[in-house]
Amino acid sequence: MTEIDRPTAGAPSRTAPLLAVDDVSVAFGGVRAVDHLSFDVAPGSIVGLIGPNGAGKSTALKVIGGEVKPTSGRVRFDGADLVGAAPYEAARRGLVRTFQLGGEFARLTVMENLLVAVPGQKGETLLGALAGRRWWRASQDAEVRKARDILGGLQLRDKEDAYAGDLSGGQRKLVEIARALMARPKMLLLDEPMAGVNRSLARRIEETLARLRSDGIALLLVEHELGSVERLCERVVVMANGSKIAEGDMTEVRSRDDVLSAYLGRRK
Amino acid sequence: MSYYFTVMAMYILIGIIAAWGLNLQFGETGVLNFAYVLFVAAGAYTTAVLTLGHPSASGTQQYFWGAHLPFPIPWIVSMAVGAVLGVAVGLVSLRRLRGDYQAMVMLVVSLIATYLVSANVGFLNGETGLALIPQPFGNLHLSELNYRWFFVAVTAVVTLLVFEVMRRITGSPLGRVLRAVRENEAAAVALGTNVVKMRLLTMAVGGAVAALSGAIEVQFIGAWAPAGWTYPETFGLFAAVLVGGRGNLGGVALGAFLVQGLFLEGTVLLPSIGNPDLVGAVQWITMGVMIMLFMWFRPRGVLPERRRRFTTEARTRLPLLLVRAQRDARG
Ligand SMILES: Nc1ncnc2c1ncn2[C@@H]1O[C@H](COP(=O)(O)OP(=O)(O)OP(=O)(O)O)[C@@H](O)[C@H]1O
Ligand SMILES: [Mg+2]
Repeated sequence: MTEIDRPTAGAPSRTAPLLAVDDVSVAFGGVRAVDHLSFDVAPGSIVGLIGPNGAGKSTALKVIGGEVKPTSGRVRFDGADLVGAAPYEAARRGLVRTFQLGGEFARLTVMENLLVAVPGQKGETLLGALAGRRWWRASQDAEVRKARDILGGLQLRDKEDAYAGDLSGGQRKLVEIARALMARPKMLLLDEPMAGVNRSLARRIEETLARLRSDGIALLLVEHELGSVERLCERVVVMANGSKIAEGDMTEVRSRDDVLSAYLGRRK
Repeated sequence: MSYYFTVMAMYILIGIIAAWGLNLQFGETGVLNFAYVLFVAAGAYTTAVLTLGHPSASGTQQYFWGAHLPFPIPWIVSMAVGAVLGVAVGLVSLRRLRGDYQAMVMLVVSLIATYLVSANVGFLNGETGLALIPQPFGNLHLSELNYRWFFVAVTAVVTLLVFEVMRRITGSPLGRVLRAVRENEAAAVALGTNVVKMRLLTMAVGGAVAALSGAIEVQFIGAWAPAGWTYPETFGLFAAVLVGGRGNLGGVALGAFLVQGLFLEGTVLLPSIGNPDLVGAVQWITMGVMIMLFMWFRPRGVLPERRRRFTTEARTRLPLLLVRAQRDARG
């Protein structure tokens, strides 16, 4: 078994949270997808967000990532309000979301997928582009090398010229994580990064996530594979029907009856 | 015959320029600009009023304002007008709506514009359109045919310039971001891309290029009327992009060549069909069928978008040839 350092459970850290979700609700027509949800994520920590299908986990991530505006409530990241900001602001402040499904740029190569994420590249403005290759080539080369390092770490180095749309589901998940890392994140919002991925690939993803933590990147991890959640996360938030029904470390949460019934009663 | 070749060359070059502008918007960025021909028209009318001179000096033609400016000022101003109009139409249709609704709004904008220009005679001479538009380079004292070939040459140079601009944009990090917007808007936003800004940028640049094609055309043929820029013209350019290969500049040029060829050479069908009204219909039907066949059997066009590979070492052609020569000598 690989060494994944398992943080000791305990009270949430006393430092100011990196992410603060404060009383967020989202209604889609009559459906309350998220219902008065609040929790914090400390800098450099990994928090799990679990719950049965339809609990509202993906919707919560979309609100935090700025794609969906909440009906009410606030989201603060690194001291800034995200609800009032443009949807692309979250990423620019270092908060990057991956997708449960279909997050790839299918007709871009793996390398291009990664390069798109680099913030403020030379040659990304009209004038920079018109200035020609010589203007942006060196900085792009540096990013290409960095992207190759990241792909190498995920054993995807030989896929750099493949179209992302031609990869397997698991490989696409890896590409999304690699791409998110190119965005220089302070925190990642990961929506089921191990779903539909075979065991060895899931293992690789788990190791990667553990490594990110030691690099100081905070993670909010939505995942149905509870073994991984238990190994990675110091704290989990449990959702059902849009609300938070429990919060604590995994052993603590596991022993609670309401969590068990939410899972057993609703699992397909 | 030569006379005919100049017309042919001009239409093909103008078509290529226009198709490249649309390719930037639709082929690269995925914006379904069904109002594209509006920008061609904006360039044509702008150049017309900037060369015709004051309305009172222009006989019975009515238009709201006019000046008599030398080449290349009218073309440059036309491009600026196309860019500004592109941003304006973009702000109306792209900011809040989903892709399919955006396309609908564009189409409606195009129809309204044709209607307004046709109905307001005092604005740009209504349905009749503007005629007797002066040609550039009048002080060169060339023979009629030489003049026409000179115009073709200037247009060819402009085409090369537009190619270079398009090549730089699509080959740059900016082009990559535009294609990312095309492929997956939500993912692009999640990575920090201001998608609206990117779309407005292509509306501006594509609008300027469209206007340039209109500016050149209007000075070559000397007239411009609403019948020449109805919405089916937009679909002719979409056909060029789809058939040639969206996202591939060479492919799009080939597509424009084929589509323009169909429309120019379509008249040779006349004897077999008999009824001249039918020729236009047959041309449009042929084009529609062509689009459908390509969508079914070759959706990426004759020359599909290239796969972009990355090398980090600065390679020059010469050492590469040497390496090949060595390898060949050995092998
Ligand atoms: N765009 C939408 N419009 C309407 N209802 C939606 C929308 N998105 C989500 N919902 C509803 O909101 C609820 C929560 O969905 P969500 O996708 O957040 O759940 P989830 O916890 O991520 O589930 P899963 O584990 O299956 O991914 C569900 O009832 C879903 O049907
Ligand atoms: Mg989900």
